[in-house]
Amino acid sequence: MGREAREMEARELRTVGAVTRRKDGLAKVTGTETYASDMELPYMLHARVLRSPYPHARVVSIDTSAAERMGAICITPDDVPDIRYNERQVSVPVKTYRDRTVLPWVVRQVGEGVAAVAARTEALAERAMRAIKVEWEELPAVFDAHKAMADDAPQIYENVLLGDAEFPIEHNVACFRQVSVGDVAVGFEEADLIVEREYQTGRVYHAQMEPKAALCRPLADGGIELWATLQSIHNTRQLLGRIFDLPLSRIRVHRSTIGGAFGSSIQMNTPVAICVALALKARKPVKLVLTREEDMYDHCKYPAEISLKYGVKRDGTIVAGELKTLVDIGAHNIQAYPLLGCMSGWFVSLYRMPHMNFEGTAVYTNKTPACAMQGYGNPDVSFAVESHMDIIAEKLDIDPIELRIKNYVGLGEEFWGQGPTVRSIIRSCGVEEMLRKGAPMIGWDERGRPEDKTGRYRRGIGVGRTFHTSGTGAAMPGEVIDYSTAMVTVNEDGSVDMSTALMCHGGGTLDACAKLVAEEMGVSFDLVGVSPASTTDTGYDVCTHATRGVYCGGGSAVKAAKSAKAVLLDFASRLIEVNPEALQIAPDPVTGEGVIFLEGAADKRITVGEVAKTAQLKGWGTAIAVESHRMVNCPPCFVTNFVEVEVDTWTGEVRVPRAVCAVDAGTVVNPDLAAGQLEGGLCRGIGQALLEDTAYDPVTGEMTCGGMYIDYKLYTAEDMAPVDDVKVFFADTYEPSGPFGAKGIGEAANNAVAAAVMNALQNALGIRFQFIPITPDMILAAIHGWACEGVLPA
Amino acid sequence: MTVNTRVLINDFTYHVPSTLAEALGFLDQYGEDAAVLAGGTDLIIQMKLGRRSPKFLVDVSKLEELKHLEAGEKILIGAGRRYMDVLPFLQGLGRYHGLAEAIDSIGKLQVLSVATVGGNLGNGSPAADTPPPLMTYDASVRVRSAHQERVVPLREFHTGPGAIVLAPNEIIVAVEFDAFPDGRASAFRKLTRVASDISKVTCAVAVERAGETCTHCRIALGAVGPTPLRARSAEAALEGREVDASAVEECARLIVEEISPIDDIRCSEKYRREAAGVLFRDAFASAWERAKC
Amino acid sequence: MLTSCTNAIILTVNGDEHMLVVEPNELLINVLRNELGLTGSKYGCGTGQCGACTVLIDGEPALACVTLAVACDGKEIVTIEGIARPDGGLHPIQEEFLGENAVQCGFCTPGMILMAGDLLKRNPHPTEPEIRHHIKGNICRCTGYNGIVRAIQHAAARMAEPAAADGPDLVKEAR
Repeated sequence: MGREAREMEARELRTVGAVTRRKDGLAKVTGTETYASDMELPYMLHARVLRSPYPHARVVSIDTSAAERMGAICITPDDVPDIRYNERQVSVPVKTYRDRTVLPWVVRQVGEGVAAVAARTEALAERAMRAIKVEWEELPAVFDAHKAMADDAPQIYENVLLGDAEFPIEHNVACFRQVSVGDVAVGFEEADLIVEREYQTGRVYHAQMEPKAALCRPLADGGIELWATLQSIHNTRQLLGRIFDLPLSRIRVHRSTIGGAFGSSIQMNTPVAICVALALKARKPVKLVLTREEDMYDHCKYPAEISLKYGVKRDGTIVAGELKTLVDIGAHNIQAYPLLGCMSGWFVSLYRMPHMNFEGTAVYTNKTPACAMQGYGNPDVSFAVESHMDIIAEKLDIDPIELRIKNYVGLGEEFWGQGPTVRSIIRSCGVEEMLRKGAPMIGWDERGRPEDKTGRYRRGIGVGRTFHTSGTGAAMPGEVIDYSTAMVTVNEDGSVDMSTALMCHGGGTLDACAKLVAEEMGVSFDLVGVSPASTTDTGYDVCTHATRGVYCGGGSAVKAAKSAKAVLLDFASRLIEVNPEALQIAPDPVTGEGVIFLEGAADKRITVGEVAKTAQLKGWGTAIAVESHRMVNCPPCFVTNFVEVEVDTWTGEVRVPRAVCAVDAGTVVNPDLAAGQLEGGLCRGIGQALLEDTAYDPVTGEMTCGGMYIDYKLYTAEDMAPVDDVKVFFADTYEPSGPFGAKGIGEAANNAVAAAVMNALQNALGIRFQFIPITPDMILAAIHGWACEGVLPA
Repeated sequence: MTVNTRVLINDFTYHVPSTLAEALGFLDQYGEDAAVLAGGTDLIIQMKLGRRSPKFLVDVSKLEELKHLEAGEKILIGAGRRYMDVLPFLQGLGRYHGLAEAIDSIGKLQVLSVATVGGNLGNGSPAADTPPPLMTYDASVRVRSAHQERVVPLREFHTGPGAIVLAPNEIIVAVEFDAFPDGRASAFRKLTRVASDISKVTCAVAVERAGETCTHCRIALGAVGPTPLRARSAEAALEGREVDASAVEECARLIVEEISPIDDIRCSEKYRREAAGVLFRDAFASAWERAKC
Repeated sequence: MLTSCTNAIILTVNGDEHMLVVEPNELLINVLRNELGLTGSKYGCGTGQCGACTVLIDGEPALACVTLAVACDGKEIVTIEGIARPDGGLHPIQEEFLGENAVQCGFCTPGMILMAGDLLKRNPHPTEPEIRHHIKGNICRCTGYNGIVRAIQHAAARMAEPAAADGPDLVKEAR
C-alpha cells in the first residue's frame, strides 16, 4: 500500500489503536473467570499420577491392588494405547519425532508418570497413588549433553519414530540440522576481523501461573469432552483421536481460559492424555490438576550452548557468520528439529551475512523435557548475537548502535520467519527509528566508559535488539502448518459474533481480533462478542504460538468480517436500493451500532440491526461467513531494549533501575496491552539474565529446587524498576500484509533483554558475561577473580 | 516424588486449647507426636513436603498467655504475637531498629499477618530473620512445660540446623530482653535472591558509643553456620576501641573467619563469607549513626 | 468454639455464614474452592510463595494454601468474590485494574486486588515503593507489575476523592 493510502487508512481507524477494556477483564477482576483447573462436573473423580523417583529406570512390575481396594480406578502402561506420539502437532508429520507414550514402561526423567489413579477426592487419590507398588530396575542416567554424546554414555533411546518410520538414535542425538548460505570459509577469508565466543543460556521454567490441568468427560457414544490448559484445541483433538482411536467428530475440546502459557502448552501436555485414559476407564468425568512441583518437572525452556563466530570488515560490514549450538532437550524431543531450524532463521535474519553456516545438535538427557518458551531459541540467539555486536563494536571502535544500523536485515530484504523453509520479504521496518529514538531516552551518549567508573555502586547502559516472526505463514507450504479459521455472524440486533479457535494467553489476542472485526464491520468494539469455542463449532486453527495471534488469527477474522459484510451490504442494497459497492458502514456515535449509508445521501441510511432483522424476517438468511485463511507472509516485529543496570560491586547484586522498550508491531491494535507485553517481557528477560535456571542433582537427577517456588525464584514487584522509569514506545510503521497494518508482538518482547542487560553490565564493570543467568555469586567471582562455574577467566 | 502441595494427606487430630495449661497438657501427653501450630506458614509447608508428620496439632493461636507485649525494664514479646503486631509495637518504642528491620524484611504481608515470633524461633532455621537481632539484644527465650518454666539465653537456644533446645513437651512463651540504655542502637541487613525470599546472609549489630569510641558491641549473623551465631571475636575487637575505617575492616575480617557457611542453592560458601563482611559494614554503619543521636 | 477434634466449623465467607464439616487436614483454599465454589482463590504453588491464594481472614491477608480450615472456625473470610459493592458494581480497585489493563492471564489478579485493598485500608496514600513492598508476596508472570502498580496508584487517587462513595475497606464492602 502506498504512503498516501496508508495514511488515509490510519486516519480513518476508529477502533484499532484505541485503548479499550478487555472483554474478559470483568470476570478476571471479580474472580469468576473459569480456568480449566476451576472446572467441576457432577460425579467427577480426581486424579493423581504415580511418578518416577529415578531419572532412568525400567518398570518391572506395577501392583495396583491396594489402590483398587481403596476404591480407586487405576491405569498402568498396560491400560493405555501402545501408540508413540509427539505432543506437539505444529510441524508436518514427516518432520515430527515421536518418542513418548501415555504411560511408559521405561522412564527417562525424575517425575515421569507410569501409573495414575482416580478417586472421589484429591486426598483419597493421593493415598491410593501412594499405595501402588512399583518394582523398578534402575538404569544408568546422564544429565549433561556433552557426556550424553560420549561413546560410553547410557543410551536413553534405541529408536524413535520420525513420522511413521523408525528412526535410530545414536549417541543420544535427537536431531541435527545444518543450514548454510554462500561459503562461510570464503567469507572468513575476506574478513578483516574475526570474533569468536561461547555463550550459554539457562534451563528456565515457564512458571505460568496456572499449573496444567485437564478435565475429561466420557460421552455415551464412546467419545469424550475435554477442558484443559491448551494453546490449540484442534491439535489436541487430532492427537487424542490418534492415540485413543476415536473419530474426531466424537472428541469435543473446549477452549478454556488459561492462566498464562509462555509456550508451555503449545503441545498437548502429559496430563491431558493421562486424564483422558482415566476417564475412559472410569466412565466418569476425571479431573487432573498438576501440583506446582509436577508442573516444573513437566517442561522447561530449551537451554542452549552457542559457539558464535563473525567475520567483519574494518568498517564494520559483516561478511560471514557461523553459529553452532548444542541444545540439551531433556528426556523427550518435543520440538527440537523446528527449534534448530528457527535458530538458524533468527541468526540469518538479525544481521546481513553473504556467507553463513549454522549447525545445531539436539541431545537427549535424563532431565525434564524442554519445550518452546517465549522466543523459541530467539532469546538465546539474540543474547549471543547482540553480545557479539558490542564486542565487535568495541574492537572496531564503532558505536554499537551504528554497527547495528549498518548491518541489520531490514526493508526489502529476506527474512526467515521459521527456519529456512518459511521465508518472506520485509515490507515494514522500524529498526533504525527505534535505535535512534531510544538512545537519547536512556542517555546513551552519557553512558561513559567502564574504566572511568569507580565506587561501590556502578551503573551501565546496554542495548539489545531483536525481532520475532508474526506467525509462520509463507507463500509456499513449509515444515510448519499455519492457518486460522474464523466465523463472523451479524446478529439481528446489530451486534456481531466472532468465533475462532484462537487462544488468548492473557496478552489480549482475542480482544485484538474483536477490534479488527469491529473495524472492518463498522460497528463499535462493545458490540462484537467473542464466542466460546470448541473443536465442534470452529474450523481449524493451528495453535496460538509463534506470535501469530493478531497477524494470522486477526487476518482470518478480518477476512471473515469482510465476507459477512458483503452479505450484509447485499441485503442492505435490496432494502435501500443502493449499489452495495457504494455503501459504507460506520458506528453510530451514540449507540455504537453500525449504520449503513451512502455518503452524501441523508435518506439512504439503515442500521446494521435493521438489515439483519429484516433479512431474517424476509427469510433471506443470516449475514454470516467462515473463512479459513493462511497468511502468505510472516513479517518480523522488531523490538529494541535499552536498559540501565546498577551493580553493587560489594555484594554482586544487580538492579535494572531504568529501561526503554521499543517495538515495531506495525499498527498497534491494543496500545496498553501491547505496552503490557513489553513490560512483562522485560521482567521475564531480566529473570533469564540474572535469576532463573533449573539445576539438577548429578546423582539423583532431581531438580535442586525440588520443583518448588521456595527455591525457584521469580522477580516480585519490589525488584522491578519504578513505573515512570520504564518507557515504552511504538515505531511508526504499517505492515502492508497485516490486518489494518498490524504485526505481532508477544515473543519479541523478551528476546533481547538478556543481551541488553549483559551489555549494560559490561558498560558498568568492564566485564563480559557470556553465560546466563549471572548471579551475584558470579558477579563477585568475576570482580575478585575467583574460579566460578559460568564465569570465564578474564 | 512423595510430595503434594495441593492437599495434606496425613491424618492428625487438631486441638485448639483455650489456656496455656491445657496446651501444655496436650504436649505432655503426646510428646514427639505433637506439633505446635501457630501461624502455620512454616509447619504446614513442612507437612506438605513430608518433612514433618505430627499426629496431633496443638493450635496455640487462642492462648492469651502467649500474647504479652510489654515495654518496661524488660521488653517482652509473647511468642504468639504476630509479626504485624510486633512491628508497630517496636516502631512505637522508637528504638530496636534491628529487630524491626528484620521483621519488615520478611515483607510478605500475608506472612507477617499470621506468622509469629515464637514460630520463627521454634523452627530453628539458621536463616531465620529474627534471631540475629534478638541475639544482639542478649535476648532470652521463656520456655514452659506442664512442669516447669525456664529461661534460655537465645545464644544457647539453637543447637543445629532446624534444632533447638526445646523438649517435645515444652513451648516458647515469650522472648525478652533488657530495655536499651540511652544511646544504644541497632540495625539489621540481609541479602536475598529476590525481594520476597529466605535470606542468603543476615547480619545484626547493636552498639553504644561514647564519641568515637564503641562502648558496647553485639554482632550476630544468620545463614552463615549451622545456627544463628554471635561474632564474638569481632565484638571484642571493637568494644572499647575508637571506631575508624580500619577498626571496621578488622572487624569484618574477623567475622569472615568466625563464620562457617556452606554452599547451598541460594549461594556459595565463598559468597556468604564475602557478603557477611559487607552486611556487617552496612549494618554497623547504620547502627553507629543511629547511636550518635 | 472448637475445643477438641470435632470437625464442624463455622466460616463467615463474604458475609455469609456457612456451617461445614471438615477433616482437620483440609486446607482453607480447598474448602473455599471445592465446598463453597469460590474458585477465585487460586492454587499457584502450594508453599506460600506466590500469593495467588490470598484471602482476608478477620480482615488480615493470609495464604489459604497454608491455612487449615479448622483453624478458621468462627472467623470472617473475604475472597475476591466478596469485594464488589453490594449493588454488584465493581470496587474502585477492580475498576482500575480493568482501566489500567493490569490484567493479563488473570490468575494472580484476585490475590493482587485483595492485597491492594489491604494496602489502601492501612495506607490510603501509598508511595510507589510502598505499593511494591505490599504486593511483593504476589507473583505475576505476565505483566512485569507496572500495570498493577499503576492501577493501585489510580485506585488510591480515586478513593481519596471526597466524592467517592466507595469505602476503602474491602471487608466492609462484603455483602
